[in-house]
Amino acid sequence: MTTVEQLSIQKRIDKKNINRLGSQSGVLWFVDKSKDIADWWSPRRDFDLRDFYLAEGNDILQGAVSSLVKKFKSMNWSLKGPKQVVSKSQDILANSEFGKGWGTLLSKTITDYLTQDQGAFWELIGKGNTTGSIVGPVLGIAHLDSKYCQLTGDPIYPVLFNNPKDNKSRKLHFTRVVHLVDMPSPMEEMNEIGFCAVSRTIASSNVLLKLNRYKNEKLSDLPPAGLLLLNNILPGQWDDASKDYSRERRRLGQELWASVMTFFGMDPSQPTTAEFVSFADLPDAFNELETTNIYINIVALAFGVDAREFWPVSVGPLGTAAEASIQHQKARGKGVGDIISVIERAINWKVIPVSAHFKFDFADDSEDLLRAEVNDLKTKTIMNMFRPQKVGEVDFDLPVTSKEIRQMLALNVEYFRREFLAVEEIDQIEAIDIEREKMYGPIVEIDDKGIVYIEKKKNIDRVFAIAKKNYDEGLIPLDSLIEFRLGEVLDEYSSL
Amino acid sequence: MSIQAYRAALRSNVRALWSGVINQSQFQNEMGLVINRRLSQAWDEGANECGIKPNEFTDEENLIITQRIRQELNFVAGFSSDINDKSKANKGKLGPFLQRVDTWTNRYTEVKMKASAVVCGNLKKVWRLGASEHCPSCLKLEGKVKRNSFWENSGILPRVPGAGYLKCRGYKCQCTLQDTSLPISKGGLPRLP
Repeated sequence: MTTVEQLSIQKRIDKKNINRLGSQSGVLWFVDKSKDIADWWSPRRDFDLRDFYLAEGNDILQGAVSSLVKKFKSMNWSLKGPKQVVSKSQDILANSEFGKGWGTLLSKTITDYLTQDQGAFWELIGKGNTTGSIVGPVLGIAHLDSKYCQLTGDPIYPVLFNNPKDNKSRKLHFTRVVHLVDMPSPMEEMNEIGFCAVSRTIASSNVLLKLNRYKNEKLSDLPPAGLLLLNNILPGQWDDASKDYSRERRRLGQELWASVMTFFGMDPSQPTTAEFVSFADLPDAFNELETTNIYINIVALAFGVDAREFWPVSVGPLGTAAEASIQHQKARGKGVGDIISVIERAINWKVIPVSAHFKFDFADDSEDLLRAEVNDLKTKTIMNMFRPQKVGEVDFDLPVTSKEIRQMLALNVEYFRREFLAVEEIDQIEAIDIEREKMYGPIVEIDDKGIVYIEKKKNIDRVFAIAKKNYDEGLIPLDSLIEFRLGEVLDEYSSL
Repeated sequence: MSIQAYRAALRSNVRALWSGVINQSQFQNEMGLVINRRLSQAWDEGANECGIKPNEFTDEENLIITQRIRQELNFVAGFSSDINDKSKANKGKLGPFLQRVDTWTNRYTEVKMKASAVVCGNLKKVWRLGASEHCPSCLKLEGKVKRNSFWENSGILPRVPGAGYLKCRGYKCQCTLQDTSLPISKGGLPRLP
């Protein structure tokens, strides 16, 4: 039987050609760290960026990338659709990256998305000639190292994969590749090259890198870069003394005097002196904490998240706890929200069958708590209608029946599942849906842990539900929501 | 009714984005869902005209509809940008976008007709025994239902003189392939001859 590994164009699992650690990544490891990052954009730029974010001293940037990667890896997801279809799709996602799993695929993808201007690439694996379109469904997903990918601008073959295993280039049909990129360039000749988050922090990160280097020099027992002015010492004497010392340091594996320039002066009327003038110095009124805080905010801006995503919450330059909550809400719609949309769309449109739908469960603890409080209030309000009303000696009829109460709870309170409905809403269940249900099983929702929830089909006004959610989250005013709903009702009425 | 439902859903999405109650990302996701669901439905409806059910589609037919849907999805991002640029907040008008929705809606009929043309050109055929002595191979094939293209591509056809896949070699075979509305037989054909 043909396996996903055999169908892949990457030949990563080629037993005859197993790479020893690091042996194929010469480009990455031989980049001169002191060289500036290439201008936007040439392939060199992405090599430099990868090296830059991995550079020693770039701790905060590395922490930011790692923090977002971990956030996504720990995010739950679910698939909704006919049971047979979602079971197969879940299998594809869970066994992606040649069986290493969804977490590994996501980790590599988010890292490339955040650190490479070219973005991240997935290979979609399926049957059929590898130079043409996939025949049948997608059978597997694997990450493609972006340094081996080249964007072509051709809509049919958008990517060339330069396979390091056999040094051959393969054009990838659009059904066999997914390209995820941050801020794709509007310039046509750039073929969708983007501008990644790390690219947006280069200047600020360089300051922190230099600060780190400065601190290292100050803290180490080696001389910093500078000018050494020697008076009344002969060059030969200095050479002999420094060579003796250097020999000893080299034995210990330390390079000495590499950044020191020496000048000699001869004035017998002056005593023998040695004066050191440092090349690097901190700016006037430099405050490391302030600089770091500013840098954190710049990184947060570049990554489109709240600064507290990377840094502990406290009252101070980063704001108050109340601001934190607001910024948290706002940030969800930017960096993280953008990545969620990009991945959801890629999976829904290119990986899984059209009848299934993938989504991340983007809820957090504070949102869960808020939702629980809202649900509690709704439950109390609804149940109040079912309490016997008594004024004096007179009993009043209940305003609603038990069935109506059940229906209200099922419609308005989240933790009452749809099955709780006493009366199923079936006004627009269409014959064709029932047909599909017979073929592929009922519509279900399956999460990343494989737990299945069956959903009864209902005609829900999805767009209004989203708009209402936006209103609930304070993103739109009530007037806009009402006006939109009114427009919809009028539109519906006029088309009758 | 489905085409009206498609139109209504598209209009609702357009109105929502134009009035700013949903954002571009939400619009694109919802349009993706609507297009996926409704164009699949159009394809099913077209195929249903000649009795072919969704689980009886060939790989080629599934590929055609999948690519057609994805082609349509490629236009969503541009459409959302246009609406966003001329949204209510940017003093744009809703009317022109609702007119554009009708162009999108027309894809429903196009997909349905395409399904009818593609799928109905490849009906289901059932192997029926003829009025003669039956060989073991033909008996194994009796009642097997496959799409016409399957019989053609596999080369398993009745009454073919010298047919190596039939015990009777096909010389006196009276079997026929007949149009049917029976469901497709699961699995491959039995081992022959």
